[in-house]
Amino acid sequence: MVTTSVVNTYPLSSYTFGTKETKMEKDTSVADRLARMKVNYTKEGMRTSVEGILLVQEHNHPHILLLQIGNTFCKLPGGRLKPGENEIEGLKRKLSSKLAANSPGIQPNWQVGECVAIWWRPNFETIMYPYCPPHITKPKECKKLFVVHLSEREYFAVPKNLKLLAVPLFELYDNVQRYGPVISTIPQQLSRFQFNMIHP
Amino acid sequence: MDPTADEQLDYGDEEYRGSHKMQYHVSGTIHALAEDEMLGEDDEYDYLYNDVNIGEGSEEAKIPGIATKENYAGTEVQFPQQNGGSLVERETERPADAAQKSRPSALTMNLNSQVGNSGYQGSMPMPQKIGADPMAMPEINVSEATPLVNSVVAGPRVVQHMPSLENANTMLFVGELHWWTTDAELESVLTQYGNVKEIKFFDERASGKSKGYCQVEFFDPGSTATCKEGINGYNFNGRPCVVAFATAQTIKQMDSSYANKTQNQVQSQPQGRGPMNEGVGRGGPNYTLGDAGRNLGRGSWGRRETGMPNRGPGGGPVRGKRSRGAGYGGFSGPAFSGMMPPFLAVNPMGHPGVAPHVNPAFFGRGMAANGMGIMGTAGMDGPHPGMWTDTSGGGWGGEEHGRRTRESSYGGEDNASEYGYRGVSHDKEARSSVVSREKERGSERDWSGNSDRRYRDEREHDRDRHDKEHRYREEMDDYRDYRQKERESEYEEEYDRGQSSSRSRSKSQAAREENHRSRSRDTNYGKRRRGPSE
Repeated sequence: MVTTSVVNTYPLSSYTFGTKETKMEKDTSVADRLARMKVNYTKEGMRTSVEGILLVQEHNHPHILLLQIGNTFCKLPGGRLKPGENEIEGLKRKLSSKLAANSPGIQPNWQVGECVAIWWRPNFETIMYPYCPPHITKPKECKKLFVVHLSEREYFAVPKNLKLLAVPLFELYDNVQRYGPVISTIPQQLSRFQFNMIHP
Repeated sequence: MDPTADEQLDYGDEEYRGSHKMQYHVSGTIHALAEDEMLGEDDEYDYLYNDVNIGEGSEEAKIPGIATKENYAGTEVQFPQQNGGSLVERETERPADAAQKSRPSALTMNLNSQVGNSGYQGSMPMPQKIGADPMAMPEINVSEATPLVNSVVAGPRVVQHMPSLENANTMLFVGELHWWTTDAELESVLTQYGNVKEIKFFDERASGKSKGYCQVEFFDPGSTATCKEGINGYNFNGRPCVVAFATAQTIKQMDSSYANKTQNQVQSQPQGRGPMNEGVGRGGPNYTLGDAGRNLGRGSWGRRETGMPNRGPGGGPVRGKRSRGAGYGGFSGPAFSGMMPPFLAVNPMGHPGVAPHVNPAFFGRGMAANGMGIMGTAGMDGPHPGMWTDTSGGGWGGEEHGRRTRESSYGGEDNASEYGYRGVSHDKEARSSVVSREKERGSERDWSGNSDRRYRDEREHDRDRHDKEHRYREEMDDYRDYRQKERESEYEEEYDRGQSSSRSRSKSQAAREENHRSRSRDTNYGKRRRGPSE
C-alpha cells in the first residue's frame, strides 16, 4: 500500500475506455437493498464495504471517476467485502469486477492508497455518518474509501448499463443534493493531498 | 428512493396531533382553571367508558380517544369511579409537579399519561408520571383523541394491531435516556426480563445522535409486563428511565417520526414543550402557540420544508387539510390570529430562554429556527398565503407585520450564535464602507465563511430563510442583501430526499453559483478597488 500524500494524476486522455457486458444491480429498490442487508447481517454480521477513489486530471483539476447508474445516481466503484476478506484485496477484486476487462490478460495493477474516509451505517437505513453514533454499539455497515493511484496507461471496460464519468472536485463540493453526503465530501478528504498534474 | 413526502406528512400528522394537545391546553389556559375543567371531564370519562362497548365514532374527540384504548376495554367498567378518584388525585398533584417539571420527551410523557389515564395498573408510578407531565388531562385525551379520530373513522383499526387485553402488548417505549446510553446497555438490562425481539432507537436524522428513547419489543407479553414494572425508573448512566407500553397509535407516531427525516424536530419539540407548558400555565401563551403552530403547520408543509417553517399561521391551512378535531381547529384560528404578533415579537429573545437546559449546540437549530420560522413561512410561496387568508386573515396580516419586524431586526436581534455571526458580519459590512474595504472584506469573508458553516449546520434554519440567500460572496456586492444561500440548504438536505422544489431551486442555484464563484469574486475585487479611489 502506498501511503504518500502525493497523488499523480494523468489526463483522462491517457486512459482507454471500453465496454463489457451489463452488470446488473443486485437490488431493484432501496427496500430490497435494505432487506438484503438485514439478511446478510444476520448471517455475517456487520458489512464492510470498500470503495475506490480513482483520480484523473483535466485542466489541472482533479477529477473522480464515478459510475453512473441510470441518469442520476452516481456511485464509487467498489462493493461489499466477503467475510474475512482483506480490505485491499477486496477492493482490488471489486475494482476489477467493475472496471477491468474480462480477459485475464489485461488486468490492471491496482495501486490502492490510503483510506481517506470511513462512513458508518447505524441502522438498516440509507443514512450513513462519518462516525458511529455514540448510542450504537452494532453498526450495520462500515464503508471505507480508499484513494487508488492510477498509472499512466490503463484500459477500463465499463459495463454497458453504467456510465463512467470523470467528475471534477468542484462539482462534488457542497453538492449533497446530487451526490450524497459520502461523495460530496470527498473533496474535503482529498484536500490534504498534493496532486501532481502530469501532462503527456 | 427514500422516504417520500408522504412520510413527511405523516410526521406532520404526529406533530399536528401533538400541537392539538398543546392547543387544547391553551384553551384551558391557566392551570387553576384547567383543573376545574378536568374535574368536569371526569364525568365525561364515566360517560365515555360506558360508550366503549357501544361503539365509537362520536365527533367528540375524547370519546374515540378513550374508546379505542382496547387495553382498557375489558377493565373499564370497573374503573370509572377509580378513575374519577385517581384522576382527581392527579389533578391536585399536577400543579405542584408542574413547577418541578423537567423536560420530558413529550411523546414519551404522553404515553405515560395516556397509560396512566386508564388507571388499569393502579401502580404508584402512574401518578408520578402524570405529575411529571405538565400537560393537563384534557390534553392527554386530546392527544390520544386526535390521532384516533382518524383511526376511529377508519374503523376497528387498532384492534388488529393490539389485542384488547393489555397483556398481549409486547412493545414498550423506554425514554429519558442519555444520548450516549447504548443499545448494548439497554439490551443487557432488558434481557433479564425475557427474550428481546428488537430494540429500535430513535435518533436524529441529521446527526445520528440518539433522541434518548427507544422502542423495545419482546416476544412474550408477560415478560413485557414484568420488564415494564421492573425497569421503570431504572438508572441508566445515572439517569432514571421512563417506561411505557406502546399502543398502536403511538407506535404509528413513532414510526412515522422515525422514518421522517426531520426527526431532530421531534427532539427539539419535546424539550421545548416541557418548559413551554409551564409557561402556558403561567399565562405565557406565546411559546405554546409558536410550538403549536409549528406542529400544526408541519403537516401541510412537510413536503416543502423540513417542517420548521410551519409556525403559527400554519394552524389555519393545516386545519383545512386535515379533517380532524374540528373543535381544535376552532381554537387554532382565532387563537393564532390574536396571538401572532406578540409571539413573533417575543420569539427571537424568548426562545433561548424557553429551554435553558437544551444545549443550543444540539438543538439550537431547532430552537433558532423557531424564531425564524415565521419569516420562513411568510416567505413561502403560493399555496400558503392563500390558505392563510382563507382561515385567519388577521393572523396573516399579523404575520406579515411580524415578518417585516423580523427582517429589520435581522442583523441585530438574532439569538443563537449563528445569528450572532450574521449580525456581526453585517455590522462589519456596514463599517467596512467607511474603513478600507479590501481589508474588511478579507475579514468579512472569514466571518461569512464561519457563519456559512454555521448555516450549513442548521438545516431547518436554512430552509426557513431559503428565500433570503446568504451568499457570502454576494455580500461583497451588496451589504444589505440578506438573501441566504440556497446551496446551504441543499447541503443539509439529504441526498436522496425527494423535495423537488428545493432541489430544482438548488440545482439552478448550483449552476448559477458555479458561474458566480469565479465571476463574482472578480467583480467584487473590481468594485471594491474602485470604490475608495473614487
